[in-house]
Amino acid sequence: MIKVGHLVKKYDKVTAVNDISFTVHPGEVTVLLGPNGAGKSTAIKSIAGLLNYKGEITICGMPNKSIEAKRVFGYVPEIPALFDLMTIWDHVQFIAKAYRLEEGWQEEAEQLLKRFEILDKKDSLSRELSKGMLQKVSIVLALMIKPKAVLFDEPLIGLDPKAISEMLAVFGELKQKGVSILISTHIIDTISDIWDRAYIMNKGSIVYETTREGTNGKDLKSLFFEMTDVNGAEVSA
Amino acid sequence: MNAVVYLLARQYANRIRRLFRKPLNALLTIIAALFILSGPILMLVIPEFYEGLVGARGREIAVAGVQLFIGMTLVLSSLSQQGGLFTYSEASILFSAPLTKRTILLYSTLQSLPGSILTSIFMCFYFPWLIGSAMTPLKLLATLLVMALLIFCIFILYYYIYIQDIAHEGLKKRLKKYLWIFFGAVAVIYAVIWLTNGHDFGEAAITFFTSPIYNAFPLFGWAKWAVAALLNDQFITGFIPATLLLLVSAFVLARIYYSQDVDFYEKAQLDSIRLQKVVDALRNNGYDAAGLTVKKVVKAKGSFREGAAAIMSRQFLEMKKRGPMLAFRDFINGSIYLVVGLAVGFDFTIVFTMIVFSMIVNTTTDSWNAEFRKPYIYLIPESPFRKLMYAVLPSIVKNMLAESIIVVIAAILLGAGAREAVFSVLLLAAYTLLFTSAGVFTYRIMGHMTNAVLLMFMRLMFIMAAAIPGGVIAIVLNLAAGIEDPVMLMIPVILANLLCSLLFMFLSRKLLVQSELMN
Repeated sequence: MIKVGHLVKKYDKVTAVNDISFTVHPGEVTVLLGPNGAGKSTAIKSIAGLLNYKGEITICGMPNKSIEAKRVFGYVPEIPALFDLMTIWDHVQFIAKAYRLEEGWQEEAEQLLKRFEILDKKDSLSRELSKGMLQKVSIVLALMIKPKAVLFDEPLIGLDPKAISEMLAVFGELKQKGVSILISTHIIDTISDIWDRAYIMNKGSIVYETTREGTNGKDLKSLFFEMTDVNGAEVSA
Repeated sequence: MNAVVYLLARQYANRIRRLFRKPLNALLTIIAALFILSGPILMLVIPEFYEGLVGARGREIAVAGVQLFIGMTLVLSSLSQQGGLFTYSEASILFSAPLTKRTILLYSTLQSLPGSILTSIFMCFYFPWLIGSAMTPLKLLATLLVMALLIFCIFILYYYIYIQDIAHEGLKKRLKKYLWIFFGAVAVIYAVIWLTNGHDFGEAAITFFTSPIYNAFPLFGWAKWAVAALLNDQFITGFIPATLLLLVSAFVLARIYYSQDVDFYEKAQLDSIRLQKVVDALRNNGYDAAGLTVKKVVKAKGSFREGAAAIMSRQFLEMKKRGPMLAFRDFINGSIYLVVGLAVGFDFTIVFTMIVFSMIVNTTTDSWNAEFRKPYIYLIPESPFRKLMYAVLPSIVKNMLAESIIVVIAAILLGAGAREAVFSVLLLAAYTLLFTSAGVFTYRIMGHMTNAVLLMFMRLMFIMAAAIPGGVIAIVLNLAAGIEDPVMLMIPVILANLLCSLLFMFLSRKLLVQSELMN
């Protein structure tokens, strides 16, 4: 479970996230929606412990910046941040050793690479890969630690249709395993079948929250437009 | 034409405005400008202030040395296969706009002018300190013009060769080969002069660089001739003809470049993507630029240690992949200082000081800096202090090894005793620890700054300031206690540096928890 309490993040005089609180439950897909600049990525980075903020964040009951919490959550950044001179497999080895993964990680990592169709590229340097492939590597690195909570910051951008469908299947499997999943995304249509809980952000605040059951038949996209008062061009269909 | 001038003017106006956008930025920009102008200002206020580091004998060699060092760096990088004409954002505008090929060529010609002036200012910063009061502010201004012309010619030549390489495949490769043959020939000539000058490295350098044949050599020779004549007050017989030669060359080269008819769009567009990445990385203080500019990546497999030590294994693997030339750039830099020291006749202490100063700049771009820009060091479930230690360890080891070898060679060649050599290596190790720990600490106090150039400048200033306690102790012991034995002066400096390093590391122990991911 991920618990965010009264999170505030300011950049100089700009308040990027303004006192938001929410919970990501185990076995649920929680989505953070909002127009550009709403504060979604800032919120996710704060949860991942990459920013300084005010408020309280726990992951599986442990403070998010503690070593124990870091062991159990995975993070997929919005922009893949890989090392140019390292191959995909170098990255995999690096994460496996840094997280002290148990024996057998090689086979599991290979399975994940195969699933995202990048196994044949495992000896390619990351600087030789396309943006979509880099995104796939980031996803594999976050999943190979077998997380209990995963933070996905715009995970579908740059992925091809096959990878998107694989990603959706992965979300389903993680749900089955009881993993808490938090996704920030613009691509509402694509996640419309898998979300369980949604928080709509605008100008740094949560302006609406709902569960799939609580929408009274309205679709998520309509709710998004209603709550953020933006035109259709803001959202990729 | 108007659009091109407008585009360039806006780019530079925005860059300048950004430097003064906030009061702190403006203040730091002024401090940086004063730092660069400190030499000429001092010479203006106190005309007979200083004899210069190289003395009267070494002036011409110093001028030629600075020109060759920066000029040849530009020439060699321009002949590499990793070049490009425009960044992606420039290429997107220029190639999609209704502009003729010539207008685009004009853009790159005009773009070279401010670049040449800025590089020239960077080169001229050294002259007042090297040459002393003989380089008056007015003469420095004239030198700035000469240097700008030289750099402009190199830039235009680079652009010209880049485009001609598209029409005549393999041209760059052939030119690079001929350049190395030329270097070999020059080295042989120099060796002959050295042999016939009583095996004196300094005398050979004076004979070589003051020779009229060197002055006659296109571009580099003319530029040195102009500045040397300026220093000797030979305006009519030296400065004016040499500057005119450079001016005519710049004009002719620009004309030839502008008139060529080669379809360079596709190649320039392809290269622009990589060039944009390099520029972006450089704007981010250059931490990732090295990874993008490495042409041949050595095939290497690494074995990763467990936990936080995996960060260290990762960096060692990257070093292996970069190959020895790039991984040991400190060694190469140190070698250059040693050669300059031998040519100008510096003693061991000055060469050692130059090596120590070069380490300050290296610290700000060492591989651990890149680590702070990626999320993994923050995410790995290990103690923040252990992660930090393992992140900086490879750079410390690399710097100590590379620089120690140079210091030992310098001690042998410049006649320092064995005792002094051993303690110099220990002092160097203490400086490596001090600069690295001070560099890490700067992230705690300045990590939030967004202006990359100013951040770099402030970090450099802070790292330099970290060496003050040790320096003050040495001066006090020398002046107050009358200690002159270099080794006896080194010991307290080593201890002071180690103490300061420990303090900085202690203050940075929670850096990876308290600081933010830097983008």
